[in-house]
Amino acid sequence: MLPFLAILVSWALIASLCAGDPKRRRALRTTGGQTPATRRLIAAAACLPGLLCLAAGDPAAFLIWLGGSGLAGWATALWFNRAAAPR
Amino acid sequence: MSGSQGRWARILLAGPGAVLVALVVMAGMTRWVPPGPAGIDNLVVPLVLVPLIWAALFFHACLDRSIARVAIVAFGLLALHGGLVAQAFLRPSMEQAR
Amino acid sequence: MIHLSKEKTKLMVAVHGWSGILLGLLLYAVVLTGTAAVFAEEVGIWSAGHVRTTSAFARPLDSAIRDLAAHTPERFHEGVNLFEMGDHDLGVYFHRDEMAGGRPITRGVYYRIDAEGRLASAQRGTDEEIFGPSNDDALKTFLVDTHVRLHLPNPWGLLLTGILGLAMLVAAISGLLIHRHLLKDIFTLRRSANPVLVDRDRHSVAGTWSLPFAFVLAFTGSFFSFYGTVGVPIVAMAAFGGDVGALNETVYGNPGKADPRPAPVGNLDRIMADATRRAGGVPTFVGIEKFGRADAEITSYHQPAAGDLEPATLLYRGATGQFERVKPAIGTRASAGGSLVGIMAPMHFGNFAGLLSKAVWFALGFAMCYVSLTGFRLWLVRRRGEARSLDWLDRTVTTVAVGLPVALIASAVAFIIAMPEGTAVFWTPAAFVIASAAVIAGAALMRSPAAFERALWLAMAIGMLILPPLRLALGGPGWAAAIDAGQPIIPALDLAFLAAGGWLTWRTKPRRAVTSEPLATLMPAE
Repeated sequence: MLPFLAILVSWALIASLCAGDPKRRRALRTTGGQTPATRRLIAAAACLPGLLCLAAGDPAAFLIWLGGSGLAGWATALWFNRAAAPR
Repeated sequence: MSGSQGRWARILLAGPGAVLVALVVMAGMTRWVPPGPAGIDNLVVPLVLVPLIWAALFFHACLDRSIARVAIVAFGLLALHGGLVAQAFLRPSMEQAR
Repeated sequence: MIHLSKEKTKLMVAVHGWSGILLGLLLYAVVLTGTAAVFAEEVGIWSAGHVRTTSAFARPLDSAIRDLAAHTPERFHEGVNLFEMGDHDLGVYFHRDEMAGGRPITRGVYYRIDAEGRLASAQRGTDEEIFGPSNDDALKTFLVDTHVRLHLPNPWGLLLTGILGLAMLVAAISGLLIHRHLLKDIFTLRRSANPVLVDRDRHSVAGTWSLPFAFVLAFTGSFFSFYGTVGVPIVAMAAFGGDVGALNETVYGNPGKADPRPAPVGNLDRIMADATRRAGGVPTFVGIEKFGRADAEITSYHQPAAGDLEPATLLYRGATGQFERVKPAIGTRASAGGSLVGIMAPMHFGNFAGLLSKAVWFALGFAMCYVSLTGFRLWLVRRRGEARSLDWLDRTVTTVAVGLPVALIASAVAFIIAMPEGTAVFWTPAAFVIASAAVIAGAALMRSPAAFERALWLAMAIGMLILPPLRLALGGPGWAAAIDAGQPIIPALDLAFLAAGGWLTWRTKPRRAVTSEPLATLMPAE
C-alpha cells in the first residue's frame, strides 16, 4: 500500500509541474507557467513520499516509488504533449 | 607532446589503461579495505565497486584537461595497488627464507 | 545541469553517440530480453501450463531425501541442494566441489521428484552437463540465457554482456554530462518540429526519467557478468594465492569445528516447517553441507520479508535439526560488504516485492529499450542529409528493433507446439533462428523500408494474438481451471498478449503520408 500511495502523491505533483512547465508551454505557443521558486517547492514536495518510505525503514517501497515515479513522469510528459501533429 | 600524440595517449589511458588499472586496483583493495565483522568486506567490496572504478578512470581520462595528470593518477594507482599485491606474494616467500 | 567546456561536451557527445552506435543493437537485445526475463517465472508457468501452487517444500520430503542419500555414493554427500523445478517438482542435487581446468565446478547426481513423490529422473555429471534446459522450461531458459550471455559459450558470453553493461554505464553518465538543461527539458516533447528535434526530445525525456535505473541496471548487470569470469579469479589470486575454493568458503561458508563422525541428518520436514514459520514463507532454496556428518549445516533461503530487499536466510544444525540463527546471505555475520552484495540481485531482477516490483522493472526495461531506439533514430536522422549510404543502418535498426521481439514470439509459438511432443528444447531456439533468418531475408528483399517495418509490426501483432488460443487448443489449462487452481498468471498473460496484439494491430493500420522538413542545424551538444 505504501509504495502505491507514495507514487500517487508524487504523480499528482509531477503532473502539476508538467502542466505549469514554462518550456513546454513555449513549445506549444502558450504563455504562462510556474515561477522557478514555485517549481522548486513542488519538486521538493514530489520527492517527499520517497524520503518518507526511507524514513519508515522500507527500502523496497523506496525503490518501487523511485521507479514508479520515473515512469509516471515519462507517462505524464507523453500525455501532456500528445498532439495530432505531422511527424 | 603533439596534438595527435596527446590524443593517442588519452585513448590508451581511457581504453586499455582504465581496464588494467581498475583490475589492479580491485586486486590491491583486498589488502587495505578493512575486512569488517564478517571478514569478507575486503573481498566483496572491490568486486562490487570495480565497474564504478573503471567508469571513474574512463571519464577522468576523457575529461581532465591535463593528460599528464591523467597519466600520473593512473600510474600512481597502478603502482600503489600493484605493489600491495606484490608485497602479499613476497611476504610468504620472505618468511619461508627466514 | 553540469557545465562542461564546448570541447569536452563535443567529446562526450562523441563518446555517447559512438558507444551507442557500435554496441547499441547488442545492448538493445540484452535489455529487451532482460525486460522479458523479469517475468521469466510467470512466462514459464503460462507457457508450460503449470497449475500447481503448493511449493515442493510444503510437502513431506524427509523420507525421499534419506532414500536418495542411501542410493547415492557417499563421495557426493559433500553438499545437497534442494530447489523447485518445473511445476513445483523437487530437484535434489547431491554433489562435491571439484576443479576443472582451474575453474571450480561441481559433480554429482541430480534427482527430480514429482508432486506425487515419485522419482521422475536421475542424472549424473557436472553442473554444466546436468543443468541445461528441460522440456517444460525451455522457453524460460531460452529467454534468460539470451539475456545473460547471448547464447555464447562461457566465459565469452558473460564478458560480452559485461562490456555491454559498461557501455550502458558510459551512455548514462555521458548523457547526464552533455545535457545542459536536463531538468528544464524534462517535460518538453516537441511534435511539430523538424525530425531531429522531435527524436532528440523523445530520447532525452525518456532517458532522463529512467536515468537512475539505467545507472543501477548497468552497474549491477556488469557486476554479475564480470563477478565470476574476471572478479573472483583476480580477488582469489590477490587474497588467497589463486585458491578460488578458499575464497568461496570464506564468503559463503559456515566455518565451524569439523566433526566428521557419521550422524543422520535431522528431520527435514520439521526443519522446513520451522523455517517457513520463522521466515513467513516457504524456502526458495535449501543447502545441506556435509550431509550425514555430525557437523552438517542446513541453510534455508527465503523471499525477503515485506519491505526488505535482501533474502532471509536461516541456519540449522544438520544433525539435530536445531535452529541456530538468522544469517546474512553473504558472510557469517551482518557486514557492509555482505549487504552490498546482497542487494545487487534484488536491484537487478526487481523480484523483491512480488508482482508489483516486477511490473515496475518491466516497464523501466521497456523505457530503456525506447531510449536505445530513439537514440539510434536520432543519430541516423542527424546524418540523413549527409549520406544516403546509411540506409543500410536504418534498415538494420528496424530489423533488430522490431525483428527481435518477432523472433522471440516465434520461439514462444514453437515452444507451445513442441512441448507436448517433448521436443521443446530443440524447437524453441530453432524457431528463433528460423524467424530471425526470415526477418533478415525480408530486410534484404523488401524494397520499401516502411512496408518492411509495417510487416514486422503486423507479424508481432498476429503472433501475440494466436498465442492464447494456440495454448488452449494444444491442451493448456483453461481460464476456469487455472483460476480454480489458484493460478491467475495463466489467464493474466493470455489477456496481456491479446490486449497487446490487438493494440498493435490497430497501430499498424495505414497512416497518411508525411512530408519531411529541412533539417535544422544543431549545436554541438545536441
